[in-house]
Amino acid sequence: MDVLSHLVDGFAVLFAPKYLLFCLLGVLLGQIVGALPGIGPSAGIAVLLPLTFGGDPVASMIMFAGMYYGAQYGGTITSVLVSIPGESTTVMTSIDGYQLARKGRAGAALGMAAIASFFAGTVGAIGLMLLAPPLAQAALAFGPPEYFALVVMGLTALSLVGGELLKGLMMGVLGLLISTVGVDPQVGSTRFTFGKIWLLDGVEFLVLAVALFGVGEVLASAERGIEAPNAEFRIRNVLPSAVDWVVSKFAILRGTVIGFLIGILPGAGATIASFIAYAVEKKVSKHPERFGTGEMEAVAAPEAANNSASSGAMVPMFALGIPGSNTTAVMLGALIMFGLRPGPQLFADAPDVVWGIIASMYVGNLLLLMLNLPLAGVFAMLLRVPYATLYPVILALCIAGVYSSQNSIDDLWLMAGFGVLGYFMRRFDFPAAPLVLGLVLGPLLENALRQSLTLSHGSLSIFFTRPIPLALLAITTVIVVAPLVVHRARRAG
Amino acid sequence: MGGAIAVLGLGWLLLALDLPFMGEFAPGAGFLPVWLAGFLSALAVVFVVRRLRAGAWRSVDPDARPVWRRPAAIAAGLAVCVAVIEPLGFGVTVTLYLAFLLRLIERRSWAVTVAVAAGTVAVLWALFGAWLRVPLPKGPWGF
Repeated sequence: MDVLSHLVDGFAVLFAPKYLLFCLLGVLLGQIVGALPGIGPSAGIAVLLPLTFGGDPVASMIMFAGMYYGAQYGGTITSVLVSIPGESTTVMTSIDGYQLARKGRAGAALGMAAIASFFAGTVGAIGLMLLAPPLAQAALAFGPPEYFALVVMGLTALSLVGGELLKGLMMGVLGLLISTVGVDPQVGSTRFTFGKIWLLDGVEFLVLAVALFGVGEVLASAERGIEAPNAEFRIRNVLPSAVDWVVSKFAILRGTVIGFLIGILPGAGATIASFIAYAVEKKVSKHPERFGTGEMEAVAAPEAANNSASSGAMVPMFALGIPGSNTTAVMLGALIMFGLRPGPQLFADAPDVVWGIIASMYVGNLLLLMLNLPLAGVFAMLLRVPYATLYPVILALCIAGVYSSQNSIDDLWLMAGFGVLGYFMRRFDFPAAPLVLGLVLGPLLENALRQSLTLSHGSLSIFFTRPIPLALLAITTVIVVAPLVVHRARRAG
Repeated sequence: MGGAIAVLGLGWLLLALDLPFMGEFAPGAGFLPVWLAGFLSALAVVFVVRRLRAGAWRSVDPDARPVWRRPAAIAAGLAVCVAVIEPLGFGVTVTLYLAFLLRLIERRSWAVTVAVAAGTVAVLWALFGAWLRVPLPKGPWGF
């Protein structure tokens, strides 16, 4: 009942016209960044961060959440119409979705994807609502050693996002190191500032996020030279047929459950969820040989999975302050930028933000369903915007946005420098999310470590004699060791 | 890139060693940076060794070679833009930067170049300068 009363409060917040407008704006922008090649939800949110700096955190976070799950819908349009996934999370959708489009069923495929996404997004929001508060309640008992172990585990798990753990770990540690620039949080002395006053506050999350996800992405995409594809299929009859329903209903259910559970795991995320949902559907199908030729359930399952995974990824972000994906890492930084502390205390400190976002997910998914079915053709027209015209606009927005946060030219230099770093990271497949998360969680990790060692008079045993840190560090060890064991076993086999 | 990270880690380690490692009762300002920089260097060395062992340095695919020119031009343009934004002002500098990108790098038509560059700057000026009241740098022409 407690959850229901909080949800009612959340809806009371959301139904203010201003917040409904931001919810609509968020899902619209999400669909746009999801459909446009070369810019995803993490980049979209990062580029918009400066516009929300100093503004209303509830409105901004509702908009960012809408962009996150809205992008999953938007990415589907390009996947189905031109077989180019706007998002990595819709790669699996493109396989059978494009084949359906070739058979003249683009409308039905997009309609099924929208309905599956709506169902999964709504169920995911319910899961988030039921799971996050008790998890946060349990984590309220955490002290410095528990927090230290939790941050270490979260960073390690997120290091898996890029696929190669070693690269992710290097980026996470680099992010933590960058967070040590500025004033020491405990004794007040300066570190690594080289006598520069503008470095006393350290490197701002906003600058790093815009640089890596905005400028870095633009430079990497410009290298690849993204061409505007031709959407050759017309969109008609967006309502799926009765046969489509019969073959897809259980696929949607399975995809929803798989997506939510995988989304909760830090480091797994919506892309892996959609891959697994597709694989499971192929496994349980009576006609697995037809997968890849235009099967409706092969569109429904990954679409349900990527949407419910978006909700699942918000569980550890809200409850523990540990993000489960690239985009939630940026959103976590945004929460901190607004002066909020993500984690167990957030439910008590900012219930309007948390429950406003959860309530907005119900409304946002409904809005997306209503927008998607009649407007899929309009969003498909976005494909005609050449990237060569789009990226200069993104760069101009990055310049204005970063400057506006502190009115500082030095921040612009940092943005340019980190943008080049972001380009090389993309070029050599180093993930950006652990770097950003390292910067964001660095102060928390350092305070927790130093407080723990103060409590234990400098002994590391404090992390191994308490059950929760011990368990979390054991999980971290498994995260690091398991891929090595699997790799060796494959080589031996 | 692994080598560059190893060098960065070692450089950071040297700087961190100058900071107090342990205080009287608790770790000092240099405690975490020393550990992190050491760990980063170690990870980077492992990464480089693994790449060398895998023969990554031998297998440079000519088709996979990066096309540096366009990103380099965009980044260089950005650096120039940042350098002159204070004396010339946001409006002039960003309009010229966008025109450089659209016309010279991307070979867009003059009509598209002028419309996108001027339109973008006008919208950003209205959004940040007028609505959010950000004191965007103004040049001698007042914008």
